[in-house]
Amino acid sequence: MLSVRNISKHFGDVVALRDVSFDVEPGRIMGFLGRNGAGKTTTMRSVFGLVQPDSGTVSYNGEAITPAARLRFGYMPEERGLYPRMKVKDQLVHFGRLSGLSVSEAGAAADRWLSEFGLADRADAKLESLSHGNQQRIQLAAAIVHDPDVLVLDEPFSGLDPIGVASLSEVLREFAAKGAAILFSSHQLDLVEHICEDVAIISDGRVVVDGVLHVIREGATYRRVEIWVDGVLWDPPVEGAHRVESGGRAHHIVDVSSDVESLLSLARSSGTITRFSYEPPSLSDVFNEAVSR
Amino acid sequence: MNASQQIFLIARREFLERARSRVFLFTMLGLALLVMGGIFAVSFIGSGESSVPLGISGDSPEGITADIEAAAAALDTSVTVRNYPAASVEGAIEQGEITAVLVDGSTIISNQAPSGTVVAIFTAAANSAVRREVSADLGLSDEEVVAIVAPVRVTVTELDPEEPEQIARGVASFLAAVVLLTTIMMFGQFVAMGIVEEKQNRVVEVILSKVRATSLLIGKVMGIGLLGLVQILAIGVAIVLGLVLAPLPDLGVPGLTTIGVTAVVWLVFWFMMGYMVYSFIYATLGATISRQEDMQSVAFIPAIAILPAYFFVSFTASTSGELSPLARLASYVPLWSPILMPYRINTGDAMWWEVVLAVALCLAAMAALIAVGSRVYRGAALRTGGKVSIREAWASAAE
Repeated sequence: MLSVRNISKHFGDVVALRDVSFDVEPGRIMGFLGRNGAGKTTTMRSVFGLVQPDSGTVSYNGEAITPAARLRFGYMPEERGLYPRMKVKDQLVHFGRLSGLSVSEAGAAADRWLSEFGLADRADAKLESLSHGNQQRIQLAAAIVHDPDVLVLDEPFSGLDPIGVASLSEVLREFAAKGAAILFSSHQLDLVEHICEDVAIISDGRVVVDGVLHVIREGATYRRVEIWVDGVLWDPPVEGAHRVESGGRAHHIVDVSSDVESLLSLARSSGTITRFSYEPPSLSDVFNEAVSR
Repeated sequence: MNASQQIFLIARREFLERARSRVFLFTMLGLALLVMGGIFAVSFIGSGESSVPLGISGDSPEGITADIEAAAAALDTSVTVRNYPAASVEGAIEQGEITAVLVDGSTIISNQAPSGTVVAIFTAAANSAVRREVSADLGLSDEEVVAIVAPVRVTVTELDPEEPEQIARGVASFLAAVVLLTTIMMFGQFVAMGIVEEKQNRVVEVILSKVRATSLLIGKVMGIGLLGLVQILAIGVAIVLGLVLAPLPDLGVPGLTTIGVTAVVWLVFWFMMGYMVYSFIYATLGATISRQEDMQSVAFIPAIAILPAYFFVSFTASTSGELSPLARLASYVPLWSPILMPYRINTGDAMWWEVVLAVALCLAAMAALIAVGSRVYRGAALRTGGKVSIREAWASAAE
């Protein structure tokens, strides 16, 4: 388990992290959310010793992270970068070996990921000759070539096309299934909702939400309902219900005490129900609330 | 995977990726060929001056001027011959009006040892003149004269004699200093460029997530240094080959090749010393900038730092050949010893303990520079917006 405990960090007068704590458990994928400048990158860098926190600790399985332990970690920084003029496979082998793989292990792993990403025929191409999306795939391959136990990915989905998004999601699930602890940041909340079991939301250097995603959603004090009766949006006649517009569509927010069964019977008594949805808040709702608090 | 294995892997990558580039191969071969070509050029200039001003004086055999011209023509050399009254010979030579004068058909007077070609021309001319005289007096054929007349030996008188070995050493030492200076600067700058490159294309963050800044720094310096070693060895081999193969004028130095080989060995050794000191300076400075375009703003610092060594060497080479006391003191200082100490060794002016002291100080400086450099590097590696001051980087690594 990767544990971030009470880390704080300031750069000059700017406080970047305030008492940040969360855990990433083995076999689980945690989405790390926050607005730009909230402290995601600084937190991730502190896992790799790239930033020294002023206070607090980062540990793995209860022990301080030594350089040797860190070799079992994989990192994809937000600022992408590899050697532009180095051959793709040489590059992956180099990073594999830096993480402790033997020449043959690194070669086999590089081949495996190149064919997994459909780039086996570009093994001897220079990185700079690849398209942006393919460079992104090589960047990911460089982070996972040594089969890490902990994977930290800063904005791994940015710039990927839908196929790339699907294949990266698949890779993350595969690693989680093997027992890796995965932490990744993203601004694509629907994606995070789709892939992650756990989330941590950081706002202004402070973790404001942290836990299992569905528990967080279910734990909200309200539900979003969209009920259409006789072809028009129906106003639920319950206390505290209010109408919300988002993206040209409207729905209502009702208190969690207004249960499905009573709403359904009220609606049915007003006419024919043509549409009915009753859901806990989406991750996007949770996020917007958390960061505007 | 420990730190030294990682250092090896980083050095290996630096070396292979650069050694494979055509630019490096062409530069290396080009410089080696340039050096060898230079030695050949010297040998041709020495033997084939367009028109060598020669003189005759005293009791010259009849027709000696024509003999000299004929002997010169046989050696593909063009000469002009003038007759000097005995009293003005020395003045003309000292003023450089004339290279050498044949006096009484048997003695060459020149300022310093005349070139082999000049000696050969005068010797051949003196012999022809003597044989012609004998042949005319006794009515013998050319073959008969050659059989009975012993060859004339011309003697050489130098007005301002200088040990030819000393001259050769002086030239070799100066050239070695120039080669050292340029290669140390060149590969030091490669280190700075390599560091900026990794910052600029952001790969440094991926590497530093696996490797300590100190290891990355040392690996990089080692890999590029190995490349420099290959370069300087190529130059060394070119020097030795040039000395062996080029038709150098006979300087009267028996051990020229040995002197050359010794100088090359010291060249390689002091390149390593100088490179280690300067590469970490370049690395530290390179870490503080984020783009190749900003390189100018830091690269001038080591270039200025090394300049005093160049001044001392070129001043000494152009004057007495002896380093001043100030230059001797400077030859212990790690910034300058890699240029000045081999110069002193090559000119035969260094005591063994002075060499040991200079090497020890270089190693100590290197250790200190590694410590400073890796801390600055750690503090500045992820700062990609513009220039970071060394003080700022130092402080932020401690945070």
